[in-house]
Amino acid sequence: MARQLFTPPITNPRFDPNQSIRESYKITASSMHFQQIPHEDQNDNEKNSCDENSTTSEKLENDKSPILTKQEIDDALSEVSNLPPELSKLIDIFIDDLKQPKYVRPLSVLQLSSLFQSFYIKFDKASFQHVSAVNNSGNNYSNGGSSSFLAAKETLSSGLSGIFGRSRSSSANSLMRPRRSSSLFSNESMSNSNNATQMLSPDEIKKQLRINELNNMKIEKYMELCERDVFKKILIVGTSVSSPNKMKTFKPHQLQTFKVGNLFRNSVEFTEYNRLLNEKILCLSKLSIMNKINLIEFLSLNNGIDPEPKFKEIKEILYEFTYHSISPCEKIKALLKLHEIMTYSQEMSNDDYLSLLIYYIITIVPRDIFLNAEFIRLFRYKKKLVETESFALTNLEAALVFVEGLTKSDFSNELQDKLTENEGKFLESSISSRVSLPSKATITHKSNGNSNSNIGDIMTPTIQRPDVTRSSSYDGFRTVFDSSLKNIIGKIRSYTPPHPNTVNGNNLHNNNSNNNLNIPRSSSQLSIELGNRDTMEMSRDGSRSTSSSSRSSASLEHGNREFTGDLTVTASINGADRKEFQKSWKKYKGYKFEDLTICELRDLFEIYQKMMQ
Amino acid sequence: MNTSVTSIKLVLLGEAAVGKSSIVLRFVSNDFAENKEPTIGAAFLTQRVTINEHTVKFEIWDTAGQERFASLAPMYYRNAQAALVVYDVTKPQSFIKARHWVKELHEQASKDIIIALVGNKIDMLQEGGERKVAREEGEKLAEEKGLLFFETSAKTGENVNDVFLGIGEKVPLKKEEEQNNANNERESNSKRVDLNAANNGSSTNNACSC
Repeated sequence: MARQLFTPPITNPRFDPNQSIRESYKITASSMHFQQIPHEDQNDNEKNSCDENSTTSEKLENDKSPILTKQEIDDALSEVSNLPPELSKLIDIFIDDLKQPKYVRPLSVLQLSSLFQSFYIKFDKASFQHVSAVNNSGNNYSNGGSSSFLAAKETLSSGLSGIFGRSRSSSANSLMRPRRSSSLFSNESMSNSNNATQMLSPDEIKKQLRINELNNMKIEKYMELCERDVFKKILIVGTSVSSPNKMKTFKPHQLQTFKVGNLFRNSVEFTEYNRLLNEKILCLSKLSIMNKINLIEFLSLNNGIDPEPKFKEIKEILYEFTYHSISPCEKIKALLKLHEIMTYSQEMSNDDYLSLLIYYIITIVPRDIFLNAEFIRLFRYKKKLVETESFALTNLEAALVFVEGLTKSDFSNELQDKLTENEGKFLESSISSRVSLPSKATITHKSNGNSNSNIGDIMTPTIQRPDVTRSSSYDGFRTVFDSSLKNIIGKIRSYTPPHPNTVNGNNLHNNNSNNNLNIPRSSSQLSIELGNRDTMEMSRDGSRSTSSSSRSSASLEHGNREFTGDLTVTASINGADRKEFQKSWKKYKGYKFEDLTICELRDLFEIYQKMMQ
Repeated sequence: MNTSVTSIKLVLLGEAAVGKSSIVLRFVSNDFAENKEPTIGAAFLTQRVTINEHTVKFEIWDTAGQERFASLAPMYYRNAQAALVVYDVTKPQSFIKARHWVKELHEQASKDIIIALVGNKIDMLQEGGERKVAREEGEKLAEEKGLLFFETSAKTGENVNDVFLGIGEKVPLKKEEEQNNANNERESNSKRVDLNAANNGSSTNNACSC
């Protein structure tokens, strides 16, 4: 790759400075040929299927790199239609690993996302290494009979190429990934780095940049293919785990069509939120069809904008987005297309963008659109989810937030009278007041700094767990008491003998406070999760009406049972008893320890004793 | 030749029809006129500016100005490094709204966000329009809240580039940022749990827990 860098490998005793100088200053017109050869080699291997290359992201890329012609980019990228075997293998390993029955409890979607993001980072690095390796081996080939000097240079060049290749062109990324931006080409290093760079002529630097650019594009393409292949593979192999401890519970017929909802099955909040939002959108759509509400008027789309001409086109894209695409990158492409169509219209001012988007969502009613949006947020490679992609996704999310927040009071009194009981129920309150989603802040994966250290620890990602306060205060005592109590409850509810290895996992998590990311590796982990959920519910108690709280907690409870599927009840407790029993231990849910009377404490103790039996 | 590039997420806030999009279009199309279609919407645009041999790339996020969407704004200004709060010098109401945005940004946006207060449509004053927001008012607000302040005309282009240059100059350069990142990295590394150690520790626990 770094063919033009004829720089002295100082540490190499066989280095011949004269030759180096000769090489450095000779006309390097042929250099590009060296680079082309490996591409062509690859070409033969990989041209078995074709894939469209003109994607929005790549178009953007073109704008950013004036030193490359469109032709060159097309040439380079048309070769890449499938992943090379060694990269493909990484995906296989990852999927196999996901399917290992190593988790006692099903993974939540946030945990899954975290695993995927680590994998993407690893894959990104591997692609980079692959591209460098291919270039280097190509060079060797073309210089078949070269001296040992070249071999020595080879070592150096791979080192340098490491640095070069890491100066990714998209600057947003370099901000996010400091390591990659510490390139030889950054400001300071250009002027005062070692003599290695000073020996390059501007021409050579330019060429090097072109090659880097092409390589970066290739890597980007690999990343896209990676996302596509990972999810295709999941579609093929399904997501169930071949052991009693299921990772996810899938029915065979679901394997035929990939539904993003499947990934969210273990995160009840998301599925519940999605269900409510589906209902709400459908309800609004019906109201609009029945002319009970005038959407165009309601959304103030009345200043000369007619959403109809593009309706069909938008509908197709939204269907593509929700039903016909699999990988996050396909979905985001659909979204970008939507974004493009909407922003390139002459009559639309930006103030109407959201209104129009909301209009389309309500009239088209794409099913599970919320889960699809979240799917991108969680499973698109974070490094790529920037700029327009991020903007388009944010717009969709904003539109959905607007819809979920719509209540009766947003409409005229006239309408409020006309609503049927059922419709009234859907428009009673905002969804976010009924279901609170796990905080997104906690799922920001640390892709920034420690990417190096992420290599190899793919199954032990930086999953964070709630911080259990340990102090001598009442609160601390209560926490300990609570968690020990819940520990037992957890054991009763879903006791699975912890796998000797999995128990170790308990301490693997980072110590970040207040979030729901805990890989349930053993039953004791349950206590944390239960406690966590409890905190969530208590906080809701504080802010909202008790009725809605208990409703959602009930639904969570229900969902929990429904989705985990591996809950077992100890034989000594029969169904009815269990119900009553649950009721009894639940009745102290919202209580604070300091508010408990002695009687209540005794009661609690009795519950505790019952549990112990 | 290849200067480092600092990316800045810049979000536009302000009442509907104060000229947010026009400002962006004016700013962006000055340099890229030949590449852009005339009908392009300004919802998301990028523009590079070189300031003192340092390239700043603005990623400009436009927001809907309608009041009903005001509550969605945090989704847009999340992680923004800069914000333009735009008002119309002929509409006092828009200035009141601008005050609200400034307040909200200070309370909810990133701590170091750079805010520029922009009074737009000064061309209308020459065309016989009446000024309803005195320059001093804007200046005062900017001074109180530590904002950059400009009066612009997207129509004539007056002062538009200065707004962005002003922001670009205030942005911490990449170099510092890198150092910060490096520091963060070190911090996060030190916070990272040593997996091996954890493993060893828990395996002993494990031995006696069952």
